[in-house]
Amino acid sequence: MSASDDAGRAEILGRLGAVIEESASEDVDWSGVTEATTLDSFGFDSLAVLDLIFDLEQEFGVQIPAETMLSMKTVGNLVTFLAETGGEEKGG
Amino acid sequence: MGDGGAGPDEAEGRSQAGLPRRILMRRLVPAATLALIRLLDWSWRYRETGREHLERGLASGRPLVGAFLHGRSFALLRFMSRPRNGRWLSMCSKSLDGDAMARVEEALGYEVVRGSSGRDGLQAIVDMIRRVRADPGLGSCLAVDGSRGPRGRVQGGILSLAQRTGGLILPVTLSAQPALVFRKAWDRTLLPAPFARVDVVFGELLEVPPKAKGEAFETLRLDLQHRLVALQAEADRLSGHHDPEPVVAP
Repeated sequence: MSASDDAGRAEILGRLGAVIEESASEDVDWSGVTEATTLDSFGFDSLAVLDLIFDLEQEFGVQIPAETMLSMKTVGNLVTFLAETGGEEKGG
Repeated sequence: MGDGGAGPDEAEGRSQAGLPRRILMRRLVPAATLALIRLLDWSWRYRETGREHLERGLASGRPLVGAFLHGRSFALLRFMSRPRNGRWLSMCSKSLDGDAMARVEEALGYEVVRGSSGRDGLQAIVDMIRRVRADPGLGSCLAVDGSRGPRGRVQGGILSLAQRTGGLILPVTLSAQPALVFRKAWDRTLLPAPFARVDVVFGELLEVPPKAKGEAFETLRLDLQHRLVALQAEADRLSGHHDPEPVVAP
């Protein structure tokens, strides 16, 4: 992975933090979150996942199928998806 | 209208169903159900209460989100499909039963998304939101205690639907006398008898703040649940229908 890839992922991770803090039903301390953090640890229920799908669509301009969203285990999985589907360029 | 009452297991079963059963559920059952609904509808005498709430919603320029209890959804189908009552998007399960119901609803003029619970249900709500956003004149509707109950317990999807479409929730129910009640069904499905007097009752529109979460969201859910249970009791009172096991808020 190149330095620019790392920078891109870090940038996505930062933007993702703001979105997840908004979607989670419980308070999230994003400062301790890494790509290895599991999405389950945010306590999402199905309605929070629904919110997350639309908040990510608004922030990154990508439509994530529910099936895909629910199959992701970690923050890193989500960052990878956003990087590969062009979220880095479309967002912000 | 509603969700067809099935889950992912049934969706899996759909692909394994034999050809005769698939023909039955996709051709014969929809045709027979449609004929039955139209015949019964012709014989029913409708009386509307609270129609001003529907009219106010239709005139608002905002999408309507129809909310009703599962047990009265079948009988509401034909009435709500009339053009003067708006255009509606409904959800039917991906099961074979759902195939039949989807065909009936489409023939009546509904638009339909497929799914009911679990991942399918979540994707179906996402699809509904996208369809309504693309066509704000389209209302969406859900059996709020479906697809499998508990009877009378409002699930949160209806509130999310309203939040994400900017819609207004319109509680609606129906009762009739005389009527057949399927007592072994979890939702105690009510089917008005031929030539029954049918009372359709609309409740006040409910606004759902787009940012409501946590306790505020739960308060709204309970409020809608209370309204729907009360509305059904009112419809039963108006029609003279007596249910020995009336719906109560769980």
